[in-house]
Amino acid sequence: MSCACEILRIIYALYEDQIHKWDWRQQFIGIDVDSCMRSNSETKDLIFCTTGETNVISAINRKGEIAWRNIQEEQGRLIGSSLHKTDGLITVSLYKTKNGSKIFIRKWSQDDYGFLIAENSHFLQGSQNCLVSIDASKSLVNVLCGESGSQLKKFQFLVNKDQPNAKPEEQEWTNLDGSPTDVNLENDCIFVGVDNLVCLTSFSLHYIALRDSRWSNQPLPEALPGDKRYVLERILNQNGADVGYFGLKIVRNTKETERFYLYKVASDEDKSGGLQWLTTFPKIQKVSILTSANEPSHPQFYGVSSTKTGIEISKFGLDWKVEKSVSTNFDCKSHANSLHRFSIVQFGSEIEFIVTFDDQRLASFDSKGNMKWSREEGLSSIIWSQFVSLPYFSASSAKHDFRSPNDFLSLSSFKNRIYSQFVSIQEYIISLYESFLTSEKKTLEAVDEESREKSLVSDVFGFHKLLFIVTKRGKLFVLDNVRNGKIIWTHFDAKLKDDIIEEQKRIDSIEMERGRKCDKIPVISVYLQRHNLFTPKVTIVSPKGYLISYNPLEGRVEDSLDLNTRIKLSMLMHHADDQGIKGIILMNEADKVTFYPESTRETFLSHKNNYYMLVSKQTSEQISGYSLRHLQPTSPGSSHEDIAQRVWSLSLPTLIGSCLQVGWKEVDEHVHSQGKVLADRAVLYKYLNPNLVALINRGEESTDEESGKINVVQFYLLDAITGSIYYSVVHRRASDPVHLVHSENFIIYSFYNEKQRRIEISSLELFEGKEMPPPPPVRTPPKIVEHLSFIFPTGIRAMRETQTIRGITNKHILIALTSGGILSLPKIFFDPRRASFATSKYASSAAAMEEGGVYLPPYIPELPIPSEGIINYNQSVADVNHIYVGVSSLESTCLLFITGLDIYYTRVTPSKTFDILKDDFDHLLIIIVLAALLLFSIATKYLASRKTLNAAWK
Amino acid sequence: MSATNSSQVRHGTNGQFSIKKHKFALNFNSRVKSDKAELGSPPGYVTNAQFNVPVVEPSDVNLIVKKSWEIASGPIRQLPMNLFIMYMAGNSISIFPIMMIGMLFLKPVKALLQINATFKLIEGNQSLFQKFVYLLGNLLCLALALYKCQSMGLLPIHPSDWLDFVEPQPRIEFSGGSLSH
Repeated sequence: MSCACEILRIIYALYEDQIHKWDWRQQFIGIDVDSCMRSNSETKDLIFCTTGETNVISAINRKGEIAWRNIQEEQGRLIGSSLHKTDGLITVSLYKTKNGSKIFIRKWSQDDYGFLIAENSHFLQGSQNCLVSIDASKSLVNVLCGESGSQLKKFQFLVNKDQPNAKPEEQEWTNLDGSPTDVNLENDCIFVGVDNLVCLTSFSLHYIALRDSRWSNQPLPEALPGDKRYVLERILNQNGADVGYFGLKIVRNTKETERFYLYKVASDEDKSGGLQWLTTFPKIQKVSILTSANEPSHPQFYGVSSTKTGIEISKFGLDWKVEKSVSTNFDCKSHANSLHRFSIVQFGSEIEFIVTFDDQRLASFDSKGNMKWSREEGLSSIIWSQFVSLPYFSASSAKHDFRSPNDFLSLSSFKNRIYSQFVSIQEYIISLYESFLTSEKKTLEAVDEESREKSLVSDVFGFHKLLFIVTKRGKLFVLDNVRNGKIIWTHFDAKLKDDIIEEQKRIDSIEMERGRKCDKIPVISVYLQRHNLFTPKVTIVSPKGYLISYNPLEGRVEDSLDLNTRIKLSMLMHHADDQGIKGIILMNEADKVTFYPESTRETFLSHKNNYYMLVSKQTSEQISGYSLRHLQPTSPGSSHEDIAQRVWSLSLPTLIGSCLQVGWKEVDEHVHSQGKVLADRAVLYKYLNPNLVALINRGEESTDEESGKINVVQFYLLDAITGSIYYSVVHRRASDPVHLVHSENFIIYSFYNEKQRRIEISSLELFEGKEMPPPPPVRTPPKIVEHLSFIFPTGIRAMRETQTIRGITNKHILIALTSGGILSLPKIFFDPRRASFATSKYASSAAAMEEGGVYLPPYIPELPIPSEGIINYNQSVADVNHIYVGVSSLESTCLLFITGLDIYYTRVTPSKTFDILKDDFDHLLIIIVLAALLLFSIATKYLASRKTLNAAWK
Repeated sequence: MSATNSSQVRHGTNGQFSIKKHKFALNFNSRVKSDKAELGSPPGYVTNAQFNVPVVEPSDVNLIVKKSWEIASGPIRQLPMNLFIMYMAGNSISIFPIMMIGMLFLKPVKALLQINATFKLIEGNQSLFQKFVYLLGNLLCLALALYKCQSMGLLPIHPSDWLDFVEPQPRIEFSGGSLSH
């Protein structure tokens, strides 16, 4: 029996040997940490962290690794969490839509597994703002909802596993006296204690004890100039419980805290009532308290403030003087030092501070200020990523020589090229020599800071690249794609963070008003302005006109610029100037155009007749095309404004709550084959108009029927130069999620079919016909449009096609499934000619082979999900948002970076690795055989000549 | 004179031997010197021997023509056999049919390259026609090989065979844009 087990284990090991050979995954708990609490069981050293925006409940062990993680509804938001002494962790999440809100209350076990113990949910009419207060010791959850200060509703839930979905106790207040006007419950108010509500208006502090049903107000401590404002701050204890304290702080525009006023809400016994000001801390950003069971009336106060070189954590005594303080230093350019959350956890007598910074870095400091661990949670909210190539030898040796303009015709650049080749050969020989001398190879992880630059060297096949990342919290990351996503550089930009958050809020409010959520399109645009291997340059454009240029290889901000204008269009030019920089065309709301950098305007002028821009808002049906062909060269002294000229405009049929989606092709996509070979060996030429745009508009359409409105998805093919529509299709009773892939001559999009209640994938292929297409200035619509729809058996989170360097390799379609798998399905399954092919005489593979043609699988409506097509095997990737694709220097291989709550990197070979030898290729055998053959031929030559000589003598 | 010489040769190997044999010498003073000057011919060598040269007759001319026809019609006569072999080889692309096709190609091409040497062998009054037949036969063999290639799909006669040489169309107009909120 044991023997059999042993054998089974060995076999198991055989299959597992390729795990993480060329892929890696990193798991996160999400951004916007709500609170972190230490497990109450003395034996388990776990820290529970809950995240608001991501709505995840997780446990972290003392090394900073995730012990378990429970992912809740993605659209929901965690609004409160608290820990019961023995029972469990109570969390409250809110899922808000225009017509109704839903509250989810859950209780989780505190052990190693995080089981769901009890669950309760409640539906509310209308879009509600809710605040929550949890009394964990009684398992009571108070949720206070309302749209204004005068209309309040309180729900009291008892979380108990014996009474699932018990009705909450409701209490309602209408027309409360002296209620503050114009307050948003979520933004301006906090729930303190069990039933005290504190709201902040620009003039005073309002307060209501819900049992009194009467608002009272209190003036603010001091009047503030315009650039400062007050912010209310909750103060929780180590269990996430509110014990009646709250803070009021003065914040400057730059997010610096100036003063922190500490208040206490009078308890029931204290009849003097109202709010009690206790003390004022200077510079403190966050305060947390530590209560002990022995002395509940004397909590210990801890405050944290940011310094120029890091943060400082202070402990306050009973007289509010700083009793003890520790400071910790880190690089404030790479990381944020402003704070998002501050919690205290206790391991026996040891105290640990869990600090969440504004860039969503979660770090644990011990009482001496040493960092125990840190987690870059920002990586769970990636909004843009880009593969950046590495040079073939270390950048440091080339630094001084390769700054010259890369004009390929000049002699100096030729000399540079020769020199670079020489240096690379030299470096290669040195590295060979070194590896020869040092017998034991250094592990990749052991590469220290100093050799960081040295390690940033491409491998032979170009698999080693940098991943440039921008997160939702304005932090830039550069990861190493082969060393398990090791962070090479980080940079935090507070201005970028504010821009992104503000824009996100704007989008949210627009969506809330319209009652319909559109697909998330990145709020920022990122362009690789310079492709040069040694000095790549990535530029980020925020919607408010803030630009940052970053060199991902050296981790250096090259330039930052604030245009102070709302950008409605940004576009990368296709032509580079003599410095190798491609300019960015920026257009503001008034159609005024600027170039970044300014010098690229000259380059643009020489191509101005050929540039067209397509402008649209996500929520409108208006699409317009702009041209800049009237642009004049600047003459000194003349002040002029470059206003773009509208050359066409188009309005799509009006839908209620429309959401537009635009699908461009990859700019530098290589299409190897200009046509498709048919089974009769004729050629169907592909329609490869580079300016073709796929548009999807979805929304509600009113019908004549009684039912009123139905959801529709409209699909259009549009020429971006002329604005003419080449093809259109309307799917009635279809809705989001819509995912779109546009590449070469095909477009694939998925939508939800409401009538059949299933996900469908529609596939289009465009052809010119069997004649060669006319040369470019002639614009023709596609002559043949093949269109076919398929059923996809599960939900889709993201869709993308593979890209390779020359486009020879077959395409695969990558689909991120809701289950966490990444499916790689050959493009041939999506071929819209499958239906017509099935009836042709080549329908059997043998017939197709006989005629030398290409075989298409016969049409079956359902697309298969072969288990061998799941490229991430058991490494599920949670909540995927996007699949980023990069090319390697090897034609067969395509690099993938999948982002979501987790990040996952892998590479795929759609046509297998046809251009490299197999791993088990026996080089030695080949060499021996070749050498033996060579020897044989020499020997036989000698023998043969001797024989003929001997024969001549006879 | 010639008669004595020939008789001498018939009787002995050289003059001395013949002198020894003859008991009576009639004119030996004058002959000895001359005998010394030139040696006798080697045995079996006849200086002025008369051979029977056959006379060319009209029936022999026919033979030449026949032989030439054999050479000229060789390629055509191979044709049926080649047809049969090719039929048996089938249209699948594998090593043996490819080798056969190779042979089929090689033979007529070789023959056509050496056509001048072959034409020298062809004589007679019909030689012009025969040369033409020989050429035609080889060309037919070549045609057969080509046909076989075509039926195997080895000839680049379809547009798909030239697809790789189709240049991608240059991009003249450039467009771009993004959605805003």
